[in-house]
Amino acid sequence: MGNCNKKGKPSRPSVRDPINIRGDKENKVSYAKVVLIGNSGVGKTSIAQRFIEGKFDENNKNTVGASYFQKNISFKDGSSLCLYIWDTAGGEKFQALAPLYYRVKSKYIINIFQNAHAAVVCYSVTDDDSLKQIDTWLNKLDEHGNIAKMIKVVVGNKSDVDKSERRVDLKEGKLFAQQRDLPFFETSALLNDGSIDELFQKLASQIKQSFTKEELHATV
Amino acid sequence: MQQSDFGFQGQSGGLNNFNKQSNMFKESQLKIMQLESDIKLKEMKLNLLQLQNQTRTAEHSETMRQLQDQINKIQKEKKELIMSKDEQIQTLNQEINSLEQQLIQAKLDAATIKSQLQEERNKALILKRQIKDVHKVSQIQMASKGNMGLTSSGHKPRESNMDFLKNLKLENKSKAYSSSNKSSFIGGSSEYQTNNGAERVQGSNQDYADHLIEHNEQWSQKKAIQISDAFKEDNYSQSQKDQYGVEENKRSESKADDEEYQSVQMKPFEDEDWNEEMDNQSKLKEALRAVLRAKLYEQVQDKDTVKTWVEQFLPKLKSSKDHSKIQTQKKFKEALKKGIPSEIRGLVWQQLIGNELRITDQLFKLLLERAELSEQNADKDPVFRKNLKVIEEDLHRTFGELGHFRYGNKLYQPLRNVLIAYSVRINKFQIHQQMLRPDLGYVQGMSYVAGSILLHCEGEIEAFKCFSNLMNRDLLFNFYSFDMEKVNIIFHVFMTLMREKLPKMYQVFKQTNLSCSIFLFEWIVALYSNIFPLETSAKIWDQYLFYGDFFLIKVAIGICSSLEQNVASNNFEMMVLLFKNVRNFVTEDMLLDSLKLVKFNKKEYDKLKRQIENTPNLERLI
Repeated sequence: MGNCNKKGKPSRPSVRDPINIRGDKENKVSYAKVVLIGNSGVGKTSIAQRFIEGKFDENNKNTVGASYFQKNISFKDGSSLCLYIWDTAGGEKFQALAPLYYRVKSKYIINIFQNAHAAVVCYSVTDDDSLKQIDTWLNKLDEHGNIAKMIKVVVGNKSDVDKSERRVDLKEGKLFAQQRDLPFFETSALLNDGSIDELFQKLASQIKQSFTKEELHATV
Repeated sequence: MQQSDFGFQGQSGGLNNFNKQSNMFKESQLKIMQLESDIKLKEMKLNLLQLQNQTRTAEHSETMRQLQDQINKIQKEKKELIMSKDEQIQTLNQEINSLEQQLIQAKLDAATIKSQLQEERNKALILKRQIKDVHKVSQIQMASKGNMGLTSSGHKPRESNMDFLKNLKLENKSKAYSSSNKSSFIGGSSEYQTNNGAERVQGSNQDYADHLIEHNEQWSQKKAIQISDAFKEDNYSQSQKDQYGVEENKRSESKADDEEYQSVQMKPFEDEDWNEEMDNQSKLKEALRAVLRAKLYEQVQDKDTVKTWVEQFLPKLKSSKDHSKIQTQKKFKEALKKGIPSEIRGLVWQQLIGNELRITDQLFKLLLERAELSEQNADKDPVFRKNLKVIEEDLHRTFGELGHFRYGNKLYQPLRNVLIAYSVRINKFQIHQQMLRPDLGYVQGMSYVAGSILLHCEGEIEAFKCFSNLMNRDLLFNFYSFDMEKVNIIFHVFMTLMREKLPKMYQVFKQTNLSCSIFLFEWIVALYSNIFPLETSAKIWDQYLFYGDFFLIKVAIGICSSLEQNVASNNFEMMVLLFKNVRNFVTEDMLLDSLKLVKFNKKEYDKLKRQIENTPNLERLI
């Protein structure tokens, strides 16, 4: 049943299947909350879409607020990890939208970084400003996240663009991540080159390594 | 001696006594001994009895112990049984939970597949229609060619031609025919139109349009201009064929008159070699004209509703500033519920929104000039530069599936202008500063509001007026300025209403710790245009613009009410998925139905809001 919503993608590990998870007495499946952050227009929604649905939608909408996805990742040892992915609105003005998610402490207002096990911090290789902003986003994570072990990865999206459109080299991005001691990926949501699957696979195994089973019972 | 005798005697008498007494004593002693032995015996017996009793009690206690053990055992077994039952129940519960989740998931999947299917169907329909039209046209061509040989006899070919036209008309009455198709169809093929013909056709069309919609000057003019524009473009081609143009025109005008039609048609055929081709063209043209007419007819199918709107409601809206005259009219409210006809929606919206800020055309121009200036010196104004960047990024993503706002398309520049004019910093223009909101700048979500307006109102100036006045409305302004205290109040209002109107849903919210901020903020900020199809959100707008802020909250409650049936489990993630995919679960009809069921009016809203505003320490209260 995990496959029924994505026709034609049988190769993918079974997705959005929290049911088997719950019913599983051996408790092989754990949950992790992942937030996608970064400037507006770097392609966060496209990354999520490529990962979840295996497609690229040229007519994607700008995210107002946040979108939510979930997907199961299976490991070779038979266990699996269900990722709860929060795709946030980026952009200059998300910082204005942000208080909604983390400043005001009211029952009805949640902090989107609360209980996040991992954060995918994105920039676009066509926008050097978005790379510079990564530090701002990292600071925000430190400020508002409550899990000290939170895994952070830096992702340079739109690697498919022409050389002439590129503003951030692969090297530059790598160096940037290295200096901050963070894993680095360059991805393309447009091309079906597996870069995004790789990103999430690695992220998932990293999460599995870093957190105990008890810690991987995410409350979204 | 005597004495001793006496003594003896006395002594012997005493001795007797003594003996008697000693006998008695002995007897009593014996009795005592007997009694004592009796007692001893009895004691012994008692002891024995006691011993017996002790052994018995010991036995009893043993059996008791054994029984206790048995009881314990049974209890243990029972406990184990209960435990196992509990486990079973738990696993069953888990299964139920998982099944429920599967159900939701399946529903989600089904809904997405359904929508995909619908999309494909629509595409197929449009393609079918296109094919049909092409087919018809070619049929007409074929027919006219085939009829050429018989034209001298006249009647027959004309009849068949008319039949085709009739068919075509009928064909095009169907509503779903996309207008863009038609216009390109007309524009692309009417290149044979001559000067005179163009004028005539234009005139007749205008007459036609005027006749149909006499009462709406603006609209009819717009349409007429559109039509004339379409023909003007083709005016310059083939002026050398003027003479035939005139003839064709005559023919097209006097369709009712058989004889004239015939005579006109005969002429060119007799005179020239390329008559045949010409005739083909003219017939083609006629077919096209029929299409045009059908298009107009189609627009007027809803003539009555449009008429009542134009004749009754619009003037009333125009005449009374606070809409008090129309407020009490049931008929108006009913019509509003059905939705404003799309032809005049823009006009009605303008009236409903009003222009409290008194935004003038000049102000808009000034703002645009100012924006251009800022754009040139963007380096000096980092705030504007950032705004501009986000706007540019959002333009093509606004209603991305429609593509209207993509670079190079018709509405790209208007949307850009509206958003930029609104977000430009106007501190140099003291005049209107207190009215516009340079502090707000551009916030993501605004592009949806401005985009929706532009899709319905023509002209960026009008759209700008609507947009900035709309932004000035309480709820929208508070949300867009991120006045979290006020946003919080609205959340409280919403949750309180949930508790009252949808207690079941409210319980699920409580149990799952779901926060309405997850969805409510973005619903309101984009005025529901990002979660519903355009037509549905336009209908929501129709009522929101008239009733005001309370209606937005009512819609939110309505959506929750429609979603209630889908809430199968108290699973947080499933709830989030549900609320993030409203489009797949709530159709327009469902929403309208639940809006009918939700009994909630403006007074209640105001009262509740005031009440919550006056609650001290609101943030900590919850």
